[in-house]
Amino acid sequence: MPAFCQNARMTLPGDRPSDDRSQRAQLALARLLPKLFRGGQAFVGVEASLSGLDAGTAARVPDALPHSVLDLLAHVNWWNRWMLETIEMGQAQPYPKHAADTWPEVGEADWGRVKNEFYGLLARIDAHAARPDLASPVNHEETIGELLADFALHTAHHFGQIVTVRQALGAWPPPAGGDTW
Amino acid sequence: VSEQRSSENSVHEVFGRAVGNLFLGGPANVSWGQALEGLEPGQAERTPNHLPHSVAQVVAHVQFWQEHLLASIDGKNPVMPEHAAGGWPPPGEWVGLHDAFLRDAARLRALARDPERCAAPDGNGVPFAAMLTNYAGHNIYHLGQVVTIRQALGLWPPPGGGDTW
Repeated sequence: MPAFCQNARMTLPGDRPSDDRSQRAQLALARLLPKLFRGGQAFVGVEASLSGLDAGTAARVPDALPHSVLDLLAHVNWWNRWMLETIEMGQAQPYPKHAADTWPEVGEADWGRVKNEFYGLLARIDAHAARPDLASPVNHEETIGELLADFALHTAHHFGQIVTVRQALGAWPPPAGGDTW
Repeated sequence: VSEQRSSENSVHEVFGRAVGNLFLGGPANVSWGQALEGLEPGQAERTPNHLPHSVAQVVAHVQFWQEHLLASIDGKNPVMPEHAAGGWPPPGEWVGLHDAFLRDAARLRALARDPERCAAPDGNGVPFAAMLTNYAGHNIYHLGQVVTIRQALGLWPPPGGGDTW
């Protein structure tokens, strides 16, 4: 059973004392965000999605598709870095002029670096998921919590594509298996 | 009552619009409306070479879990599939699936924007908003795959454009 659909039954408002709800919400979001960035609950985890892939395969663009796994990961990194700069500087950062600016030019030799950057950025994100001011605005009206959730799902969106690209290359599932049960 | 209302609002402030916005695609991605736009039934049902699923199959899978969650919310205690494959039902007729999918996504979005619902604890005492966020994550993961399947079929961007600028 996938972990994301457990305990779907909700209690009705008023079943439990409500005075600590805000605190519980803060805690729940702080626990949820790092998992949301890593998958592994509602979809295949990011480590499994990137595992067992050599640099040559990671850099290969399948026929009829626009991006390689490496391209997609470099793009995810671009936006996660932009998000972290917004949060760490405490103010809205300019948006890139064109979407193409967020797709860095990368080649086979960059695979190890791009992968390390991805995990390094996740570690930086973890620190922010636990901060007490998730409800404070940081990107115009968007709060820190919203920004983190938006980019967790931006990451998920492209990890769904990473698996599809691997399928198109005949490089899926990874040696340890995918997400079936 | 006013204290409870204020607490519900605080929960909603923490999760904010983040959850509610995500069911239709989220601000950082194309929307589901865009991703499914202009797809004829024959196109939605076509599986590209070397890929395991058509757009219709992926949408039917996401819809399976949307329906499952909504049934739980309605107190119907739906059966959990024994295996992952049980969450991949045959898509059936495309237009009906498409409409049911968007209707249920909109219903989940409305629930996610309801402070009272979001604040209510689930069976583990975790605000319901957390589970909704996980489901939204599942949806958007597969939304990305729908875009890739359309690219593989040469059916992207949709007539109204993708998410580039």
